[in-house]
Amino acid sequence: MSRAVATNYVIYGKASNFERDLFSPHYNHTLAMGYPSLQPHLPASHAPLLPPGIHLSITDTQASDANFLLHHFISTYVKADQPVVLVGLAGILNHYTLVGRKLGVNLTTAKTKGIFHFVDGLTQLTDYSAPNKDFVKPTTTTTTTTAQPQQVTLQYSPNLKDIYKTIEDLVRSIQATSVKQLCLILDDVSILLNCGWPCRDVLALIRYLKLLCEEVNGSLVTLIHADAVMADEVDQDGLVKGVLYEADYIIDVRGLDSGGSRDVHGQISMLRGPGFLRRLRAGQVKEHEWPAVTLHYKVLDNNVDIFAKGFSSGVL
Amino acid sequence: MSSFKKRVPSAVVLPAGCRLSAYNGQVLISTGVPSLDDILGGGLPLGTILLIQEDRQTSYGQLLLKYFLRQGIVAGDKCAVVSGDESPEAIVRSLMGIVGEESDPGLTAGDDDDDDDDAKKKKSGPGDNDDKLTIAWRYSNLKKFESGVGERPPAISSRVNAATSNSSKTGAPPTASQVPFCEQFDLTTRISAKALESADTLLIDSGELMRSEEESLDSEVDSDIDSDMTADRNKQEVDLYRKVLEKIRDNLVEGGFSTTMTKNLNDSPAATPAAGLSERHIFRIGINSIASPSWRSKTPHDLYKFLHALRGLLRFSFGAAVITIPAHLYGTPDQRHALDGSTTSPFIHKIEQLCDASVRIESFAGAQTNAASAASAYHGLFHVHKVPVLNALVPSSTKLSILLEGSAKGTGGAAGHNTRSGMGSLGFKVRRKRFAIETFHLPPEGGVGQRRTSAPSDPVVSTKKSSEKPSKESSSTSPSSSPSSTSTSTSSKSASGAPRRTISIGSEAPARHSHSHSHNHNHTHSHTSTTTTDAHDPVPGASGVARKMMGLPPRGLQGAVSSGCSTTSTTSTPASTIATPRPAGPSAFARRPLGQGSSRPPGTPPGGSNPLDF
Repeated sequence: MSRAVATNYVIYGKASNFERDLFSPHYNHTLAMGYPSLQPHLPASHAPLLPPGIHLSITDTQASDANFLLHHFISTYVKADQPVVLVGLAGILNHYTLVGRKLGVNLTTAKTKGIFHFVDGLTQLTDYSAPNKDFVKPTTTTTTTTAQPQQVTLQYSPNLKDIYKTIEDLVRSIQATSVKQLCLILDDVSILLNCGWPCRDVLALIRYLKLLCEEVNGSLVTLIHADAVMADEVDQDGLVKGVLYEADYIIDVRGLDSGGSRDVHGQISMLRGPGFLRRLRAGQVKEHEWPAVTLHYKVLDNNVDIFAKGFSSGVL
Repeated sequence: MSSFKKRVPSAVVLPAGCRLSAYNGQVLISTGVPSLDDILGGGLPLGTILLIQEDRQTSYGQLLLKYFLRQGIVAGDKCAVVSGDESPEAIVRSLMGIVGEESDPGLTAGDDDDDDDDAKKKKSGPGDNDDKLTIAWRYSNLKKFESGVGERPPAISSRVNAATSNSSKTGAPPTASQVPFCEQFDLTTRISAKALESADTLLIDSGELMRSEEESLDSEVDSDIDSDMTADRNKQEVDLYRKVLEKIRDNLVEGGFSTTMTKNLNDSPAATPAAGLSERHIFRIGINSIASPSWRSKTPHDLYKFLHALRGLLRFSFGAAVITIPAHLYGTPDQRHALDGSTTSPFIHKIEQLCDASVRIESFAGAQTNAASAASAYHGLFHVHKVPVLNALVPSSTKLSILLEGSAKGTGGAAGHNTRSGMGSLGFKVRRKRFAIETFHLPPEGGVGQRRTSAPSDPVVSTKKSSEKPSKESSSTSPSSSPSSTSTSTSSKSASGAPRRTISIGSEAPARHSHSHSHNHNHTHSHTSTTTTDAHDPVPGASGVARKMMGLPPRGLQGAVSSGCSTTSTTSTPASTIATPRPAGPSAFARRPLGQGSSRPPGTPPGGSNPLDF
């Protein structure tokens, strides 16, 4: 059913639909999605949302940044009025807000409404960035917006458990106020490894977060860099393999083997993770719910085109 | 949220030397190199880190860093220079001067040095003969091929020079609107003492910092006699990256460049109203050769943490950083000796991930490839590994960059495909007044000197003059040599054992001799002009005598040599008589002197040799 909707969506034309989503107060939830051409390839059971209790792992390379997929999930969930927790280890809130604006969601208002939660994992994450005691954060004089929830910042701690606690507190507080389907997004797990935490701890964090998401009926989305070059490092390789082992669904984004192209920016593979196979054996999911396919994509200004191999605009 | 990244109307006053990105409205600063600005999408966005992977055996990477710092001094920005291998003061002192400002008048007068062939071509008028195509005329209407980014219009630079000289006289700083986005620099001059004096620089000598920290540690250890020395040392080894970052952060915050942190409660930081923006400056951080052996660190995580923290710091401040790294030190064993100097070590790769943009310089001087000889017009290749993607899905350089578009990329994630597709498509050349990154292309095969479809008039005259002597020589020697040549012909006769051939030779030889004597001058001329089209020529430029000296057979003998004839004959004339009967030989055409049409051998196709060619 969702496939049919998606096809309709394409036929109507993207721009007009985006506008309708933006300005119509009664837009249809099933139509609210980030990239129309991606949606039919995602798990269909709870479309446009991800199935609850799963872990979607996204791997990318330097040549083909998979950040656009995160923006897809952020905008999809926010449009569907479902809470999103974004742990930004690589980017700042402003970046996500501006991209969100291009995709037709206003993260600032979503944040005020309590739908979108941003965890700052950039400025205070490591022991290097611990600020000097003399420096103070400016007290914003505009204290009228007290209703706005306080932004959560990950403080440095040698123990990743503290970081887990911070995220857990936030997620549980959201869950306490609503019974919706939550999406927890970790932008760039690789950062944690790079910043000196051992691979084992990072994997434990992922596992804990996955359990947490299952508990609160949410989904976990993680992004991790998996360049082939870096596989020489034991830690890095272990992290990639470990995270993929925890995953139910895997989306692998990489550049074309043949190099760059004007009309194809890379290929995107939908893969089945061990978790999916486990569910499949248990009969919880059907095989056709996540067909393992490899597609091509092209990133545009405010959209991403996903198409079958050989169907790029340059060919057709 | 930082206020400066907001999409603002263009009427908003910007800090000096900044401009707004045409694509996503980010505030950009110049790297001092227009073509690098182009690659980054108009300039380096505020709050980002540019990584430059250094070249081997040359220091173009540091040159780019100097351009960045010098441009900062022009704009009145605060420049923090961090260096361990070289004292930061030396780097600042060796910065280049501005074109026309600091050079002595003598140099300025003879200013036509420059810049490269392109500039000279531009100077010559469009109707110039050089531009006219002698073949493939239909392409003459096409747009001229541009491999680089156009230079700034000169009007700006003159205005700016006037402004800066004015300000240096009056002592008033130039206003924001007068500061050019990218100044033009002259590598032959040094930064003036005055500019150096007024420059707001922060010098951090990481080597010095390391030593002082170690000393303080040592003294601590000395005072604490009970503790085991080595254990203590291991425990509290100097964390250089942390020290450097702390210094940078302290200066950045105290200078009021941060938008989130401030020194004391009363100042509201950045919160500086829009009016104050014009007086605002940028905090430029230049780090020279980070992670070189002088930056001792226990684990690579130190550098990762440093970069991550620096990014977190810069994202919320009016600052940007350019970092050079000797990436070639970090290759895996099999890559360390890679011919093109490429390193794809995990370490460098992770650092690239933590920076916003990454480029690699590969100089021909340091590479063991033979690309240098083929592309002498360039000093090296320029690889773009990553371009900044901020506040958008698509990097702005795919929309705005001429160079990246020209090198047929424009990919979504980054221009990183460049590395995999083998030869990078960008090259750079350093001229006196500019560091130019251009679309890399090889010169025409055989070099520009060989590209002559029709012999230009001037070179022919010169070759005539030069060939005067040999022609006289040959005319004097030809009588004596002709008997020997006939002897060779007879010997070849006997050797080859082809009677029909020898008959034809015998009949033609006398006539040919007379011709060659009468047209001796023309004959040598024809030699020189035909050599340009002779594909079999092993030494293209060598004339007859020079060929003899080099131990090469005379030109006309090539067909004979290849057919196994003896090379004892010295003059080309008899040799040609040997060669002519072979209708298919290419030298048979080239040999025939002018006005020989009547005595054309029967096997030769009539159209095969155009007398006008000679």
